[in-house]
Amino acid sequence: MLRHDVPHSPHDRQGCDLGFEKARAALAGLPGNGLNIAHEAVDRHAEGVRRDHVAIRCIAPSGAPTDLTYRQLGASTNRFANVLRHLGVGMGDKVFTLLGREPALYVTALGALKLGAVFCPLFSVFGPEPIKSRMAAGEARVLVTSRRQYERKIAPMHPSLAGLAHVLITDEDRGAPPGTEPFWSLLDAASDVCPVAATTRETPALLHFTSGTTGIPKGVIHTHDAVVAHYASAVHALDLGPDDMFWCTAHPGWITGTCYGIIAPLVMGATLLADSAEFDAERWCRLLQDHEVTVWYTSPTAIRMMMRLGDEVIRGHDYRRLRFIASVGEPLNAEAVTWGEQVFGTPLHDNWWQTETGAIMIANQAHMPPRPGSMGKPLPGIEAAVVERKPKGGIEILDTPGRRGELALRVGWPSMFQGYLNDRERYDRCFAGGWYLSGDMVTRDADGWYWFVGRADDAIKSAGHLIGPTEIERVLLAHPSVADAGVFGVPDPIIHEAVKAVVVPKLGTVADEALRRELHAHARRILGPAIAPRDIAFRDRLPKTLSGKIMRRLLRAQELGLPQGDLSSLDPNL
Amino acid sequence: MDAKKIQSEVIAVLVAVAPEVEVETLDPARNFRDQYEFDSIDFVNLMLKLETHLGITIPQADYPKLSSLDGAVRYLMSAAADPGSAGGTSPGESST
Repeated sequence: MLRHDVPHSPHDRQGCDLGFEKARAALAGLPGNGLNIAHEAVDRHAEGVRRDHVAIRCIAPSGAPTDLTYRQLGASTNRFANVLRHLGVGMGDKVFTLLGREPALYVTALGALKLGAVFCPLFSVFGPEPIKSRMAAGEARVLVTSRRQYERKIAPMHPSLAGLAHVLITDEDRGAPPGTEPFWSLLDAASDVCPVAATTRETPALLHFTSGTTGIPKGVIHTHDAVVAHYASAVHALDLGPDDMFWCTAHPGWITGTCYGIIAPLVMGATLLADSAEFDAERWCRLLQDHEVTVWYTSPTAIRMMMRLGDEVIRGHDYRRLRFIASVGEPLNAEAVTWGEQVFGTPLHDNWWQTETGAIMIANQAHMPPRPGSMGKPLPGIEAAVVERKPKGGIEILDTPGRRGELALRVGWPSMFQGYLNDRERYDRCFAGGWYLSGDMVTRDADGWYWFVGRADDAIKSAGHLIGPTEIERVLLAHPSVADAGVFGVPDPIIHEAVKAVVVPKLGTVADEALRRELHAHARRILGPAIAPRDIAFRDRLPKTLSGKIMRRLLRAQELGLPQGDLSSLDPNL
Repeated sequence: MDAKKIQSEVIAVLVAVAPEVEVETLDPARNFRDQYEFDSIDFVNLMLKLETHLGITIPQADYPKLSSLDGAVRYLMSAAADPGSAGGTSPGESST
């Protein structure tokens, strides 16, 4: 496809070596070595030459666009910071959202950061239980959400969330329900002048929840210094520059939706496209075309769902402005990379990072031809290695190409997480010998490219979510007919892994289709569709270790008819 | 198949995908996603199960037409009336 008049690539201008110190120097900063994400993303543009440039183009479900310039975004976020201040919210308080990609989300995120509060977005597809456990663990002080979400999920639990001082409702046509306050009315009444808080590199800014094998979800904390890595990685891994129309399709509940769906493009001074509707393949093709998207950051699940649409429909649109496509969430298969180049005229660039890393770490980078199926190479300033944990502590670095091991990153990059909320011990377990241990198993080839193999733990990668089996098992066990439950991921051609549960019914309970349906409904009602199992099977017993832990790996192998591996720790009585 | 029969088939498939759905309160004119906690994967599963259940192919470009109960019934009625149009082929024949 012919390409003309495309915005120049930042690589033409900055070369390929924008290390973290250069990136830091390109930011405005605050007096006294201060740093604030909202100041970098909004204020410096709102007060500068880009003040009338469109910062965010919000697309309503009808398709109607609303543009917010940097100047308007600056005023709205100042107003919201003032609203929070009047409500008694201050530095370090947690401001939660249960919103989609809509104007209130961006105003809340950036207004909270401007005030020095901590922003914590939740997935709107979560059910009441994941929402409650995260808000309680995160000590939510303010929640911004829609009336529908409030009435369905929050109102019943509101009295039990003692620290939740304010709930602000964004769709206030019928007024705010009792116990809540109207978001936009408060905003309209507030001043649009607000000095940015005196935050530093070390001030906590973002809180995202992710999952491991065990326990409650982990609250991952990042500081304002993360913005340095957001900026640098956007150049290297997304080829993003100030003239771009950038579309990140991730929901803000996923860290990608915050770091690259809000922060990075605004820091860059680009225009961010924000579609409030859910996935619809043909709508997405139209958005790419009609809004002349130049850089697109999406997920393998979305790409594979678009592949199903058929090339004819995809090719029926004009993508001549589309310069760069990147993907993250789970491994992007080689066929999808090749398909992307055929239909969009530009290849797909897979990259890798985690909630804990706070920014893209390894990528098929803008200045190198992508290697289909690979995660890519470490970004400038990032040192990666393949390691093996030793039984008595410490690690061994596996230098031989092709060796399978755990992906580790040398500590010290700006967006490295600063802790798990209230769990220092769990945080410390992530590090050994000056390396962060990711829990992802990889290989590295002779050319230094990394290839994803699987998780080292039992966490499930499904449609971009990292799902902890324990959270689901606990909900199933709460059902009166369930004696035991084991949860694991099974391969899925679209969403990488689908959550499957194997349930042992209580004695005297009939394991039939009616029970399966009841358990499925029970899990979806409490957990929401993104986390609840997509499939439930029944068994008489689950394989366990001698110490009573479910052997999910063995359960999965048995269910899928795979080799069962080492059975030495299996309890022979089960 | 008449409209009533098609409607009960769609509801059966909807409940198979999202068994927590309260059928009594279902507004047939409203988008499923606006009434229930229904994500994109659920919606695709709904379409795939409808295909298997009814022995038809629904091109993905037509999915938005089936986003409410009324819309789904209308679409499937017209597919049944005109087997040559979208929805009239056997599963697996679409260009995916």
